[in-house]
Amino acid sequence: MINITGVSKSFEKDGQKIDAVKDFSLTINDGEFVALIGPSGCGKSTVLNMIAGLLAPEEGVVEYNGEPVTAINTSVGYMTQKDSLLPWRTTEGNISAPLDIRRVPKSQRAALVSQAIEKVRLGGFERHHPDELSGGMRKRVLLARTLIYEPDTLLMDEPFAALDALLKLVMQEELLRIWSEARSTVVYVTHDLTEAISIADRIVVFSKRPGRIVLDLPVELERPRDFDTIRSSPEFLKLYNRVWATLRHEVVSQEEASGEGR
Amino acid sequence: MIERAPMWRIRLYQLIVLGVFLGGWEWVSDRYIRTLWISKPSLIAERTLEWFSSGFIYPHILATLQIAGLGLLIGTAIGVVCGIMLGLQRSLSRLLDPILGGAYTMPRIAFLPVVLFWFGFGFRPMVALVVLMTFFVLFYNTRAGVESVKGDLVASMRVMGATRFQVIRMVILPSIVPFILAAMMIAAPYALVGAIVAEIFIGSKGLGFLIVSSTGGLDLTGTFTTCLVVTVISLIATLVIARHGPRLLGRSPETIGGGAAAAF
Repeated sequence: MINITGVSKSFEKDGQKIDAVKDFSLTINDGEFVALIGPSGCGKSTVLNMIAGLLAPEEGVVEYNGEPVTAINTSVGYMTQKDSLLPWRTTEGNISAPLDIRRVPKSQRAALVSQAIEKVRLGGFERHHPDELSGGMRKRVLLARTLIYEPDTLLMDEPFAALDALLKLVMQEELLRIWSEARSTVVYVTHDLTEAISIADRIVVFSKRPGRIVLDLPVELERPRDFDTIRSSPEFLKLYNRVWATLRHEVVSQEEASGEGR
Repeated sequence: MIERAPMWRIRLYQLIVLGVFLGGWEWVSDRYIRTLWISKPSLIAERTLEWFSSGFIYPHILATLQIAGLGLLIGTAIGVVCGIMLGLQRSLSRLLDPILGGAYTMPRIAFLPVVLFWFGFGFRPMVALVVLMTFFVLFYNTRAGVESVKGDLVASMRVMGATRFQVIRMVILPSIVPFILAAMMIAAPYALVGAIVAEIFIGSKGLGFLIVSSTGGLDLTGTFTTCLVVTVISLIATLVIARHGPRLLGRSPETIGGGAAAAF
């Protein structure tokens, strides 16, 4: 369980103090698939970084399984939009990195890596370097690398944002397929509303900066979800309109606020 | 598209320029300027053949290469270690920056007397001078390499559970390989210069010694021949580092992309 209570965090930018989040609270239960959605720069990524222990809150506390997060949280797997593969390692080598770090015996590594490669359907590309892979394949490698050490929680920060719309759909389906077996907790940051509703159990809408929660809704669509039909179902559209009404207001006022700043 | 001269034609023009230069030199020598002052290409070619066929030149080349090579290796080792340490400690790095900058701008050849004072005559002060000549290039490049490592890469490894030491081994070291190679290629000619200058002053053999003793004996042909040998060695050293460096540093050349190896 992740428990965020009364957390504030600010940044310096051009000598000005900017609040990313202020007095922010959120509880995420085990096994939940939560989408965080909001206008850009509203502090969604800051929240993820604090759960991962990469950033420390100035006020308040982030608790992971009852313990305050004070150092880097190695129980989570973190997948960001940026490509963090090691360019000099092959697909196999990259996926095996967490196992190398954890000093898993060499005899077990090979089996685990080939299982993971099969899971993300990268057979035949074991010996390729990242620059020989397509954008979608690199995402698959990242996904396999994040899942191979079976973290309790997956933090995903717009993991597929850099992909084209069609590939993004395919990767979302892949993620759900893999998640349906692992059933770990997922905290998924996005600013794509359709994506959020299609994959998550719960949608948390952030206000413009400093980020607060303005809407927290369960997504009551049955799993497994069929992307072809789900997006035209009445429940989906109802939810979409409900969230969009709130989100639109935040996006517009964020735009106006940054316009005034200039 | 802009039409460009094909490669063979550029090469041809380059050969013509070289031919005109060497021909002019040959023609001027003894006609307008005494050969004693400027020697001439045919004599240099003859001397080169003689030195290599008699084996006279090899001990001198070896002596210089030992000093330059050992000095370059030590300079690389110290430069890389310091570069990694300061690259990871940005505040310390910023604190020391003016001091390092000052030391870098100092004419390091001027340290030869100091080095002699510290190490006495012989092999060691000459190596020490080469270390001084090469250290900064390696240091600055390594530090730039460490600083260019993407924060995301390090953060992702840390979240996967990597210790600081594992981050250095798995991310930092492989990332800086191209920087180290580029620096070694820049430093290799400096190392030769350092070795030769040291030999000019205190050598009893080596190419630097050969330059002083030839010039002292009014044998400019010997001096120019030695310079030719130095130039060729310098080129070969740079090529060897570019070709074989990646493997020696534990990377296959094709994964270095855009770095030192690709430039060759």
